[in-house]
Amino acid sequence: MSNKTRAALPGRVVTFYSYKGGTGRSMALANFAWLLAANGRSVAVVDWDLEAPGLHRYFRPWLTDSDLLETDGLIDAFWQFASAAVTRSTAGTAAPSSHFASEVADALEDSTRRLNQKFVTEGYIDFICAGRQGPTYSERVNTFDWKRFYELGGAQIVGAARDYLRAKYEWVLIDSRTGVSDTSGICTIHMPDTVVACFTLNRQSVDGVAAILRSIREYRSSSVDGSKIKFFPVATRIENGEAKRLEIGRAYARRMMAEFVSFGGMGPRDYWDSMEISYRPAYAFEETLAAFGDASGATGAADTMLSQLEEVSQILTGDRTLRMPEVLDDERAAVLERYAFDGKGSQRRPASEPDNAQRGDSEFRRLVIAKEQLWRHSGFRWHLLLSRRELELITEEDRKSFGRDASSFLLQSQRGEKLVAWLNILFAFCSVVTVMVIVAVATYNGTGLWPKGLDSLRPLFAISLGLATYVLTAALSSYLVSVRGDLPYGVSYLTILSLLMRGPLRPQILDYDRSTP
Amino acid sequence: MNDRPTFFFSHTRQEREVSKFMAKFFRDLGDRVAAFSGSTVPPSLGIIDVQVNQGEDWDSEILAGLSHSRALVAIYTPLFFRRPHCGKELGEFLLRSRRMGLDTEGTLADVENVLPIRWYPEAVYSVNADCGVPRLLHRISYLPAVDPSQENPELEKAVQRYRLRGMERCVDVEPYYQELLDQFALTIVKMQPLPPPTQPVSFATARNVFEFDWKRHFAAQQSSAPESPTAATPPDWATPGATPPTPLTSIVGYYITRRSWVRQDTQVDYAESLIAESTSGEADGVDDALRTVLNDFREAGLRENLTIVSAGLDPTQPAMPATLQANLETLAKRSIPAALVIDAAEWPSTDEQRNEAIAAVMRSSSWTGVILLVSFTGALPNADQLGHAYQLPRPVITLPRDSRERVTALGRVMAEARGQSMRTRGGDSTAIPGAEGLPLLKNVKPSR
Repeated sequence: MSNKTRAALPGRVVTFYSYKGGTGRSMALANFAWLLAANGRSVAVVDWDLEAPGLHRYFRPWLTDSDLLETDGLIDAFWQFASAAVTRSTAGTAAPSSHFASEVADALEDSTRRLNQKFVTEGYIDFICAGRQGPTYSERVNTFDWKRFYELGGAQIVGAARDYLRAKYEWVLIDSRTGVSDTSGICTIHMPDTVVACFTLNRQSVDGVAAILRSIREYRSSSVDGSKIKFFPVATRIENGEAKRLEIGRAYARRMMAEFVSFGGMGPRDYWDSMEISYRPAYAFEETLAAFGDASGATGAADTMLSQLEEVSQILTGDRTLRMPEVLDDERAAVLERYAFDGKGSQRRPASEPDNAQRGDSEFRRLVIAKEQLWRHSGFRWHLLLSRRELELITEEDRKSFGRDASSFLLQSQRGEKLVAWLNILFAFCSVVTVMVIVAVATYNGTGLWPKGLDSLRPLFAISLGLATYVLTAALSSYLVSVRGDLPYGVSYLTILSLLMRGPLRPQILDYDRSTP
Repeated sequence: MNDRPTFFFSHTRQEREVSKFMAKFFRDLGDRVAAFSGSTVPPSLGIIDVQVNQGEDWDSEILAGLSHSRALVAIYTPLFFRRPHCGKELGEFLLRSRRMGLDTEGTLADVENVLPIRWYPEAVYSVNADCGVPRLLHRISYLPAVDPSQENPELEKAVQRYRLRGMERCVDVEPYYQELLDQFALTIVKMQPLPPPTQPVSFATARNVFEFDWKRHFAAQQSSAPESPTAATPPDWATPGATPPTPLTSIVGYYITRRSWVRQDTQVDYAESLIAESTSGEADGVDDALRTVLNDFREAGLRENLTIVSAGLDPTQPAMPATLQANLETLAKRSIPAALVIDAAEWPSTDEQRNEAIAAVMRSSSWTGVILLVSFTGALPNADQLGHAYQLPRPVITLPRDSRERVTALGRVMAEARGQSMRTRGGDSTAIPGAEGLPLLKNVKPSR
């Protein structure tokens, strides 16, 4: 499904909440956003933690203004919303008009910047920061009267903002303020379809989250729309050092959260096995995305931060195939350098600045990997292998840079080329045999083989016999090919037969095209 | 002649280094021009002054770029029209135009290969007559054309957004940014090469477009003002001075001073006289120290996304306090915060009656805003003492003398004034019918 088709469906608004700070909520959100975008989704990320904004640090390498000194954000948009609310109240208008809807859209667009990362799958992340940082940021936040804003009709404006984001993005992820505050209520009650509640295994954190979820459920069940809101509790910063205490903590947390989780087809054990994130010291120092901190694709492992976040993401999306596509080593190294804690990462450059040709090569390798993703997710469809042109462009250096997935894809594509060559030969053979049979039957003048009086039907009989011969030879030839050991993965006997019989009309393997659904 | 579509990027810096978004726009524009012209080999097709390293001959590098670039991209900001180096860059480039002339309104016409980019929102250029593009450059204007026969809703939205919000709010905002980059790059690629200057220049002798005597220049060249200028009609940008202040997004500053300022002709219902601010840098009747304060106010407003309107009041006019009170109440009803900017030389003065009349306005609860004292000479007044002496319920803030500190202080007081205006809403705190209350997390009792 293309992004445009997906975008026609209303997006999902997911709020990440935690009762206490330092639970890894922002980290989980940032990584979830990255996984979604890497798998072709359109994502909006909103930093609603106005009092302690920090989400932008995870995206630092891809933000033009990484310190947010020049970038308007959510609080700036809300000041524009407030102006609209005051104007409406002055005019005595009770309901928002389309004029205000466009004002809401304009204000949000003023605060939205796209990350400078080209995901080869057409996914993207638009980031709405908390607000432009600087000496007056705290005044802008602290002087905004949320209660007054809602008295002036702010609820409808917030609703319009939610509807706008839903219409534009498949996923809207909100990083909520912790604890109990004016804005945490908006983030967890008014805005979302889903709340991901992060907690650590201590009583304060667990009890706090449970109380908040209860409050949200009560409010939403008694609100006008009575819509059901989904909860996904996630246990974070799990440490394995104290096994007994860990066991007690887990049991307590699972007991407290049981009333909020809809397990669906999975049991509680399966749910919690997927919804735990371990504490890893390597991630405690810099706000690094796991997609770059850990190996991905075929070289990844099950015991990494990335794999755990993939599990969480699969539960949140209901898509068990959601995984981080392989990231090339040079890209990982470049990004990690830019995350460097000493702040000099952005000023460092590789020893040899890649020229346009090298940048083009990296782009080509990424396209190969993207096509591999497509091939795998489509059920290994034959025509999604690499085309002849793409195979010719691959160099020895490219081969060395590929991980196991891409190397396997390359091998299957080479087999696909050989298969095409065989199909061409076999098609010619079958065609020749068919023509020979047709001619032989049509021109045979011997006696005893054709009843007298039915000569007018002979051409029809010849053609029918010819077609039957074609099908038979094709079936036999396909069988002989199928028993060979070097067929591309996913190609079955029926596939070969279908391709052979269609001859030159078979679908061609084309270059990777991003617009292909 | 340079066959490659190189362009010179003319801009001005604020107090800090080049804006990151401006730098990105420059890089992306260079890449896009290169892509459309089939050029993949460095050096970049764009030239910007930050590329010129210290130690090199700055003048020759910049002027070489101006002399041989095919296009000039001018980043229009209110400051651009006041910076001499921007004026010289534009002036020297314009002189390469072969058909340029001056029309009957004193506007340069038939200018070639200049691509002006409006960096800020439209409101920034239109709130005041002198914030906008100088008349001389009115015809040097560009807005990407939208062909109605080719349905491209994204381009239409991109152009609309650029027109209203400026380029700063289009960089990295997709899909508008890519559409606009395409349009700008295509425009540059399609431009025809210009001949180099007819005589060598240096920075010292380079001609500033805002100061140059164009009439005499064209008269000397025996080129008459074109009777029917062939330049396209400039886009219909908002009329300067016609933007009314809006609730919570504008601040109206009332300057109570006898320092000289120039009256703007626009008639409004919330002030007797608006202050017009010169952009040309010429002697124009505005006191220098006052102009600095006006600029700082505008700078702070720009950072806070606030439109600043400046009004002037003569403190010696007997009706001034009553007029001021009425104007403040008018704004309060619309939830538009105000700022009284009082010249410390005028209040308190030796006229106690006048002092009390002004203090009565300050004590009034029928308006929202801040009281700012600005001292142009002498010691800074003690605002706390004055507030106590005149029993003022709201604080009086003394503005720092240093411009940078003043901008920061103004930003803070503007944010607080805006918050106060939102809370009080002109004194009437009645909620509108049907409005919902703030959703609050309740009954949260995590501790056992």
